Amino acid sequence: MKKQLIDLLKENVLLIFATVLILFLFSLIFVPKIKAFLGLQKEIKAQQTKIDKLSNKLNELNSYSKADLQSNLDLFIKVLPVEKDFYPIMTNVKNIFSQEELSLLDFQFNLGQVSTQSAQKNKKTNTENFFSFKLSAFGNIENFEKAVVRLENSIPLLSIDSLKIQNESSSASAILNNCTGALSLKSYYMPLSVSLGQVDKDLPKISGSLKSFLDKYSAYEYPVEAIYPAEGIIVGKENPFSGY
Amino acid sequence: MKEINLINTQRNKLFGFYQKVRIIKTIIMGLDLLLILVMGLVFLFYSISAKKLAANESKMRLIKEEINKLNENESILIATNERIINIEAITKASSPKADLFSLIKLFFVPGFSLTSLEVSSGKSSSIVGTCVDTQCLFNLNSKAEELKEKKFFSEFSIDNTSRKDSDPYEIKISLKQ
Repeated sequence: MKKQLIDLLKENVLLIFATVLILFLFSLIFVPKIKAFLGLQKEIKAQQTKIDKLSNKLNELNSYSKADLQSNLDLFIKVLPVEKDFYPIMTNVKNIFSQEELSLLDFQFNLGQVSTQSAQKNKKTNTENFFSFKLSAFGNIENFEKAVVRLENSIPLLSIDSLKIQNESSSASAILNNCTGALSLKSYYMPLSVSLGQVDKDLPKISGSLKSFLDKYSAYEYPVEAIYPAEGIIVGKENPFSGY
Repeated sequence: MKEINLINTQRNKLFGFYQKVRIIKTIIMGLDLLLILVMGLVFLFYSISAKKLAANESKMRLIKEEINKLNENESILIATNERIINIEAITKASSPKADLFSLIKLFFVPGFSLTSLEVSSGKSSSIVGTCVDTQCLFNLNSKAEELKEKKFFSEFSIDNTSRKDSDPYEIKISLKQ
């Protein structure tokens, strides 16, 4: 019997060797390969998702006209300038008050640090980037009301912090004819980000709000003559109170 | 007496053993072939997947290059979006003063004369004025009640009413939208 077994093993030595080799290869190479294959499949799936995302982004970017985008940004830069832009504000106030027959008595800017290079934007929404200014004027309360409405519907964006109107003469009428108004205002700015966008990041979804914003702010008042002098802003060259 | 054929018995036993060995050999060979086939298929799929991965990689690189060509558009879009977010935040944080004017004008009942008007930051304001008689004071109060009822403002108070000799009544009103 023993002899028969030995003979049997001798007869099948090739099969035994092949089976051992296959099992050895299976455990040593094939199992890790299976794992690698599954990992590869996962990677391909992730890659495919990324490709879809990038393709969508590319299609979306291709659908925009550069001229339209630029004109939209130009408008929003007028609404929220990149730096403390007091020149259009001053021109706007001057125009509005002059047209509403209000005499500007006093005008005081508090610009603070002039260079906005140092104004680092570190928050997504930042309502702290502003400079304040005060003004006082003389005129009719009705005209003050009109001026306030126009100021609040003008760009660059500003907000009236406080307002005080004082009657200068005793009038029997409820309407103040000769009154002095003191306004404290804030004008906002926002520096441009140093780096914008990343290839892998999604594009912002602004199409919904963009239309309403464009409609709203393109109707706002912007000083036509707010064109900067070629050599830059020369403070004090033009008297903002001229014409009063 | 029955005979026992030892040779036949031994032969039968051996035949059964070899039969079993043959079956086992066939099974082992089948399994070996199956393992070889599976391994071959996995290697094939692996190489196909690896090629696909490389192809995807190059496709992605091409798309990224295309996107990079349009990076100016993207920058403009992001800058516009940032501005819109900030403009929304600013307009939400500030309260328009123009509405207050029209609200305050509603207080102008016959006989009332406005002396001063102060609107502070937020939505509160104060009005100082004069009323010629008690009827005017009554009308002013009724008007305030009516406006509060209609929710034109949240708070209303007459802070001070005074009169010197036969001068009109001086009245100070505080209100909050």
